[in-house]
Amino acid sequence: MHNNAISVKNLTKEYEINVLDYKSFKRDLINFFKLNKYLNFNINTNKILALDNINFDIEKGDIVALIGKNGAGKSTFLKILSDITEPTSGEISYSGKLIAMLTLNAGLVGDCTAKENIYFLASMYGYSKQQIDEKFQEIIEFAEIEKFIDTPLKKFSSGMTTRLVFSTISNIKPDILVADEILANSDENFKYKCINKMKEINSEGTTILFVSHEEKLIKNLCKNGIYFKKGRTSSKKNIEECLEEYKEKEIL
Amino acid sequence: MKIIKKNNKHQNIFISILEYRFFLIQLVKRNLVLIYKQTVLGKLWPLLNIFLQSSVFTIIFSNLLKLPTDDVPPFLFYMCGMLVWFFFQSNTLKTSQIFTNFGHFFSLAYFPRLLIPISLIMENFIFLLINFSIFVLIYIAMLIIGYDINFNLKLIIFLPLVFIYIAILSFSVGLFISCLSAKYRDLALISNHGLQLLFFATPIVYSSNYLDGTFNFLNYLNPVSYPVVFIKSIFFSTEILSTNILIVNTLTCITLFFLSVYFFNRVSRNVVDYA
Repeated sequence: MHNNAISVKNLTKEYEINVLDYKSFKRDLINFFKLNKYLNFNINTNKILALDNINFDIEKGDIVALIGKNGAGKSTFLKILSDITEPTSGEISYSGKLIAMLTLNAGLVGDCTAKENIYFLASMYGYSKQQIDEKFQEIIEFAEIEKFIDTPLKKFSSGMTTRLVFSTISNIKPDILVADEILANSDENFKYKCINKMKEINSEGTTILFVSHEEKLIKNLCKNGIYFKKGRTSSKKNIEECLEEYKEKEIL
Repeated sequence: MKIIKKNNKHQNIFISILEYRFFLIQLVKRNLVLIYKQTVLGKLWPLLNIFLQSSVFTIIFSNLLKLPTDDVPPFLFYMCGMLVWFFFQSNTLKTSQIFTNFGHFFSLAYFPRLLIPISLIMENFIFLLINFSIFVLIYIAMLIIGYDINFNLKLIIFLPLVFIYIAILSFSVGLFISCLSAKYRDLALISNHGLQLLFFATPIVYSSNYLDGTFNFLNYLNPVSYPVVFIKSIFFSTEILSTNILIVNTLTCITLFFLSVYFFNRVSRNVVDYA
């Protein structure tokens, strides 16, 4: 148990995908008062199983790629991992501080300056003023935005925003870092800068979960991989084998 | 070791607030800064708000309609009631719209969800302090000029309690509305109108001395009535409502508070799925 950074047991997540209107309200009320047995009412809603009984463990210091087609359940899994939503059943346990980069617009506000946004972002993840002050210089250097710290964020390009977010999170090193397709619209230069930074913080003990569709990056960065398909996962494998499995089952 | 599962008990709220205190300050700062971005008068707006409203009320209700104000200078009479009402209204309204306005926040990271309504109260409290200072300045000015205003010294120590009571009440009502309207938005749409009705049901622009029968009874049911009448009696020595009402109100307030916090914590666990 102590070697595991993250441990996932029987994780299941069900979503309702119908429209919310008076029909679904009626259903919800009946469900709420548990009257299903007394009323001969059809309570079948449109539900999908986004995650279906997932089990795996990730060791400390590992860099794991989550691979799968769009809609396979990777982002749902990461949302549950970040404690943003609850699983329908099952559990995840992890130790240390976890920070997830799930969207690029992560709580940033266009009207505020880059400096204000960095402080806001870091504080949202639970860091104190002192911790952020210490790392502030490193953060703006890595993101290459020294000239723009007092510029309102709405004037930044999307690449600059990504750099800012990534820089903030990776420089205030969490114990577990989750990156959900954040390098999709970055230039080559920044992609490799990020990969190298992640390798660096990994060598200092951070466990990394990396979601991407770019094979080159995954092969470069990750040691192991987990393949998601329609809410199920195959067991954690060596990255080469995992990519093989993905290609076999999806592309051909 | 953190465990994530269904219906998990989250961390003690006080520890959370302590751990995330910098985030709380950032939230308040951000909200305050954002309201006045790209405005010219910027920081002057909070000063003008209640002032303008009280002026309009004085013209309409006192000069035009000649509503009695218990022998109190009308402008002060309205401004005093508005202090409490404005705090209650803006807090309830903003708190009730948490899932709509801050929904995207919830999908970004985990943080104790209760911090957001707490930051809203803090922000409104700052406005309250500003408005209260203006009120006191005008009050003293009018005293000096020579208006006949009777200050009730005995009750002044209860002034902070009035605001604390309103803070807790509006916090609870706001949370309740936001929870009930998280999945189905109907309640949020009518809460604005509900507040407008409540405004007239509370003795802000009229005195509670003139109420009798059904109106008196309804006034007793209104949890905002007691503080409004009380604050006026502090500054103008007018009559206060009976203490029975205070006891009932306080009990309701406390019950609402715990219920709404519990409810909010439960709803915010899964609100990302449908909000």
